[in-house]
Amino acid sequence: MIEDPEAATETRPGPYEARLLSAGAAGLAPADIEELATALAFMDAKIRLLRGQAAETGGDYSSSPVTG
Amino acid sequence: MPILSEVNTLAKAVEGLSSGALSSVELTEACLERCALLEPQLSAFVTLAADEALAMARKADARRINGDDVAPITGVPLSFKDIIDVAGLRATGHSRLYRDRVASVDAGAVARLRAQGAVFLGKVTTNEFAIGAHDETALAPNARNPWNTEHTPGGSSSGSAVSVAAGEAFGALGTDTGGSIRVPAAFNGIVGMMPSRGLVSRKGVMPLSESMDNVGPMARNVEDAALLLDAIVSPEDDAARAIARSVESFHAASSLLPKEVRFLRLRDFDARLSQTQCAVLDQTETLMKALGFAEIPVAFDHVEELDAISAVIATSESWSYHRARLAGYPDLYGRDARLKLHIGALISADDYLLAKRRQSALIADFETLIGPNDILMLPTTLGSAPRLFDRGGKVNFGHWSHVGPNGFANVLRGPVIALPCGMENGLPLSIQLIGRRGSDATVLAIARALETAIAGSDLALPRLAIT
Repeated sequence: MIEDPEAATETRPGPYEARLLSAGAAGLAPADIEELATALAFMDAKIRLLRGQAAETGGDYSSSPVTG
Repeated sequence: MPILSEVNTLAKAVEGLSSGALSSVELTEACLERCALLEPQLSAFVTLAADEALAMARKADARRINGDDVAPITGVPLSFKDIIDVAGLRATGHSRLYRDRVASVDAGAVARLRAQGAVFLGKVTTNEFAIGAHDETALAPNARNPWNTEHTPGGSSSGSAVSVAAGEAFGALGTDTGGSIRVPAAFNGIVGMMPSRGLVSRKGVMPLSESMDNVGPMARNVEDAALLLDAIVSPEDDAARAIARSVESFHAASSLLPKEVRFLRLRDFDARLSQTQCAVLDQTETLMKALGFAEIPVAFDHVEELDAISAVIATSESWSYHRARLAGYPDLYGRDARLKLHIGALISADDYLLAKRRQSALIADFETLIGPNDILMLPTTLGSAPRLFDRGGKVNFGHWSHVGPNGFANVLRGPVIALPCGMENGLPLSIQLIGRRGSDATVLAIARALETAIAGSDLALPRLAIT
């Protein structure tokens, strides 16, 4: 999950920059990170949706390929 | 050119070659002449291998003359997206990172085509590593849409679609991770098919997302796509081998429409469509009913979640694949590819695995709802090809909003075919038909029947006229 999801919609680059750098980001200028913030916020919304749907199903993953 | 005005489909080329009315050299020379005429405008090819193609054509003709084993595809000139390896030809991924890379081994599907004696015209453009945007400073010029060169050809299999639409090649191979076969097929008015997962080998193809990548045929009509699919089937696993064994010939099967076809029109995107495109979809639905297709009387409300699964898995895997190279050579990546790849950097392993688990659960749901003769029908793109540049001359990144959430079909692992259907502002529109895994023959047959119905209606595309 992206850090500080509330801030994501405000396109604040700060939290992303540290996370991106620690994740191995390379060759990104400040303007790049600002532009990425929008895309990361978009991805964050998708992750929230996914987590919400998973919660609704009560974690029933009977067809999961992950067996242990 | 006179040859190509008559022999304007892969099926006609196959017919002419098998009857002896045409030679592969004649067809190849005609394609190369077409390239010489149009490439200055269209830039579909990164590497045009004229001498090698003519040598392959001479060999193909010799096979037929000598009575050697031949296949329908023997002697047919084709093009290949530049993330698919063809031994002896440059394989750049349209990136400066691999400017001088030459493939030493054929990709799995390419090896099958070589063994059958197909002719390889060369490598065609893609967006960088199948993810970047149109980039005027990239390794080579990006392809232009032959219907209107001011409009995008779509991506990422842009050169594959353009070379086929413009008559430079009789068919092409493309790849699809989230719409990259279907979107350029739609914008250029051709047919593009993403087969069932694993039916066509991804060996020798630069990965973007190992869970979502697929290789498939791009062609001028459904029959051509079926012929090309027959020639590239190269199953990756037992399930795919079972699919391949169940169909002797996708070409033959494409003319055998099942008796009880059902369809479900997805309306998730209707609010984002123009009146023209909505009318096209309404008319298509009418044609489907006239063909005797019954509506599936249930809803399918998983598209948004499937799209989220696609995004999480594809961006995580593409970051994982490129991370080390990005760290080592960031300046050799174009800006758009570099930015898009970084989106995957902040997705946790927990969320990635959640997406994988939900994928399995939703495939099971989908296959409960959708039978072997059932399809989903929806627009391939949200509108026709938008302008490539904004008024200031910069790349119009807003064109990505026309792509639509195509990635959800990749999550389902079944076959999808994009089919030209109607026009808007002088540019093609397209519908896509999605089946369950293993229903490739049925999807082709449904698409071919619908294509015939479209051809007899005012949704038929005019012939593309470019000189």
